[in-house]
Amino acid sequence: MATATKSSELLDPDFMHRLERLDIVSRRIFMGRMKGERRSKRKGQSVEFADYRNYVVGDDLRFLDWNIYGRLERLFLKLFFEEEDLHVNVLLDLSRSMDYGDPSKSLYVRRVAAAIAYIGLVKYNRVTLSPFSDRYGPEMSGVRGRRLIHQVLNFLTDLEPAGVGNMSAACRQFALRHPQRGVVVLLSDFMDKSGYETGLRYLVGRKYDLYAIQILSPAEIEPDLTGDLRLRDVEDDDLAEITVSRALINRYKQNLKAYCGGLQEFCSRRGAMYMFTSTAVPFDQLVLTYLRSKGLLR
Amino acid sequence: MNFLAPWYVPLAAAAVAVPPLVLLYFLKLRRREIPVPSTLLWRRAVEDLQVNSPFQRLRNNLLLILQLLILLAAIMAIAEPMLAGSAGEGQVYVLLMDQSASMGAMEGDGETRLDIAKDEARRFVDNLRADDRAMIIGFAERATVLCMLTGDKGALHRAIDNVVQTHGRTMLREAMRLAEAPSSLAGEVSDAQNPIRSARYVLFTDGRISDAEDVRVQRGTLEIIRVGTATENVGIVGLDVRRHYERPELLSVLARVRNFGARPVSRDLALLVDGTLRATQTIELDPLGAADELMNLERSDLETRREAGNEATAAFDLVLESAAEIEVRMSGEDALAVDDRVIAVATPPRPLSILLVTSGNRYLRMALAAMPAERFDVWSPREYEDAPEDALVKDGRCIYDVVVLDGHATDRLPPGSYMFFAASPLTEDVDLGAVTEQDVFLDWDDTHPILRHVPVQEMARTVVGWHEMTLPQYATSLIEATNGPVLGLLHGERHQYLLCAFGIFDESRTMLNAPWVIMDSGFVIFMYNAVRFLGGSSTSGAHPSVRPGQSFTVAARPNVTSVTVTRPDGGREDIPVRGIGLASYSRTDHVGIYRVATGIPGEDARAVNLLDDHESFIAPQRQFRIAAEDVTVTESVDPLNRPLWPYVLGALGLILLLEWIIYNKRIFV
Repeated sequence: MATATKSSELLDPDFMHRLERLDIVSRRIFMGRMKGERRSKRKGQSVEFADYRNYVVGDDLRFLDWNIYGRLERLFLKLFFEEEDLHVNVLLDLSRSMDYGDPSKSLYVRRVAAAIAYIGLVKYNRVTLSPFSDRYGPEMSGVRGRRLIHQVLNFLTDLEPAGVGNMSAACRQFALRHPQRGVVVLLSDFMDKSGYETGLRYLVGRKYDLYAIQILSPAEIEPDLTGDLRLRDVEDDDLAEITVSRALINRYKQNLKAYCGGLQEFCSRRGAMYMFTSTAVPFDQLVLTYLRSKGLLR
Repeated sequence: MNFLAPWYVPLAAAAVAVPPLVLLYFLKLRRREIPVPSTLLWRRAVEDLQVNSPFQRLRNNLLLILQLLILLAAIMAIAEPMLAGSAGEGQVYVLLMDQSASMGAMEGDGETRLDIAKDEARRFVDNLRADDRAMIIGFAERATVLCMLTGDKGALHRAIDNVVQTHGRTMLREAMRLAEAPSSLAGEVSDAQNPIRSARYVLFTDGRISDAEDVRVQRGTLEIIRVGTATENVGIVGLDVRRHYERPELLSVLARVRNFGARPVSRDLALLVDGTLRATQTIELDPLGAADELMNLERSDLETRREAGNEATAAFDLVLESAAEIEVRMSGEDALAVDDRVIAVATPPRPLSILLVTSGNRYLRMALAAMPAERFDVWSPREYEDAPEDALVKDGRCIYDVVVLDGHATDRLPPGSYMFFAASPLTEDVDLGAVTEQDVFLDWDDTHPILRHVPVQEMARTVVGWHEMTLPQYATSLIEATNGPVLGLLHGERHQYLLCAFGIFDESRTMLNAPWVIMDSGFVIFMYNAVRFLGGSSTSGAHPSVRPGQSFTVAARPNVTSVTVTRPDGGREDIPVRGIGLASYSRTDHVGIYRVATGIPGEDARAVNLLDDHESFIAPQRQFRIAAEDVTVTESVDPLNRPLWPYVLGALGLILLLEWIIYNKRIFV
């Protein structure tokens, strides 16, 4: 099912043009490393007024508000917002289970990642792409500026699904490598037999602004199966013998709903944003409408 | 509802079939392998279902349930369910299978009537309940029990398979006697005491029962399953092969052909001598009747319609100076083939030889000398008694074709033909009493060959007196007077005697007792007829044709204890020769030549031919009358028990269809 993907398949020019109007929203204000286009938590030297405070010895006299001193004869220091860059991290699940559906989940994930990355690059954010399956990486870390978009697209294009997904190990690796806070978008089907909880805890613990986007194919949501079947797990070749019945299908759907509900509750309790989508949802509609309605983009 | 099969049959079938199905279903189910992104949720779903209900697999497995239903339906069909037409204990049936010649008629579908009858009989046997018993009798000229009373359907089927076609007539009387034998116990046994209930006799036939008037059904009821619809048949119903009386080398062959169908026909008759075609003739025949009336014709109608153009005689004359097999074949195809060919065994020409034993009778001597005899001797009674054996006997029979004994009673009577005047054979039970005079002739048979064209009235007027004669029962009286027979005919196995109760002279041999001999030419005609009739058996030109099923007798050489018979189908059989030098053979079921290795010229073959109007008349009889009572007739077996297994099989098919639909439906199971 894995097929070579062209970079143009991930993002076409028209769509890129429409993405340029969007920005990534962080629900938290983080300190950046470099000056950027984002208001920093720190007070700095931007033009945007933030607050006043009393002058204390040693303050930079250039920021005194002389007009207030003229009227009140008291020294106040003008505080301005510092504008810094934002770390936008995209974690992509590229285990073999993502190579399923038409379009495959892996292609869908890479397109979403490309769109988020492009928005981030345009807004001079620091973008990191971290694919994982049974192992973490190799990642593309800290790219900034729209001129690097082709490198990003090429990087995403070259990625191919393989191996057994190990989300907890990948999240742990990511958390260790990226101590600076920022937005983390985790794209996965979350069908990890070892569980998603451990991995998410690593990310939540680092105080990232976490968006968990679960992507499933229509065949997983509404299985089109009949008869006596032997189901083979594409990741670990595990076999499950089933005799399809209405009761079984109903039970599967109930389990899927409970699984997704559990994931959502886990995220909500820990301040992370959970989003669910199907590969049947057109990609541009997801980015331009759904992600905006959920607050990831603006 | 009853089951024809014993209870253990479906049980055994279920025990054999059901467990493997269930085991196969669970153990050896062939599953399609499908790749999925993760089996995580599927495993949980399966486990959830199994936890919720341990019998979930069975409960939800409709396909298995349907397959079990199919299997159960099949097992039920094996048990042969029947909707019982009549309840109660087992019935006794006797199946009477007609094997006569007309059952060999071909029907439209290429089957003979016997084949159809056997199919019907098999169906009948299949319909029997487990506690019913049946017996099978095949009959034609004679009846044979093919299967004794049994409930074993296999044995009954085998017996039906063994019913073979014969060429005999349909004679039911003997078959009915055999059929009633098991239920008719000897002695005074009332019906209530009889352990065998009265039977139902089921007759599979096309009708045309020759002895229907003589059949009596004493216990039980008779039903008839009529088979066959074909009516068109043309058959050779008579054959007469005769040598010319005065020129024995001339052979005359007369074949009587009759059309029994509803269409006029034209047929070619071919005469073959020892297999070589010698002559042909074409005959035109009118139909016997309209198609719709043929099935209503009775036996008597065949006689009344004889002159209506449906019958013709083909005559062939040829010179034949040796023995030969004469065959007449008819062209064209019809439903019955066995009557399209007849055979006769022509004997070599044998000039007549006559011996007159008298103490002096010029009238007899003159009359016999005028006969076309090659040899005519006159012996006195003493010469006759003293003659050496070889002067009188050759090959076990009398050298003379006719011996006329004038007033000489004797027991020296080697096999042959004898004519007695005022005397009797001492070997037979004939009693000659006192002479009565001026008595009256009451009756005579002027159709008999001996009295044909003889003015018996004149004889009666001129014969003065005759002995009171007592004849045995097997004798035929040709002239009957008030005090008994005057002219009698006795047929023995190798003898025939013509007995005249009167003599030419009176007892003192001084007065003429029968002035008739000089007053009327009728005496010469009488003597001519008598000599010709008596000598006919040896000089007629052919042995009389034997009917299928009848026995024939041949003479063997002295001191031979057995002879071999070769049947038309090639089968051989040794038959014993009785003390009087005769051998009889009775298994003449099929037409054709039966060869007997007797070693005597002219005694080495006999021809068996159908030659029966009633068997050749193949139109099935619409209404049966057995012993003057109408009998119910049906066209096919009306099941006593209505079989339900076809419906069970139908249900099986429906369930199978349902299973197929469900199997192919996308999700729902």
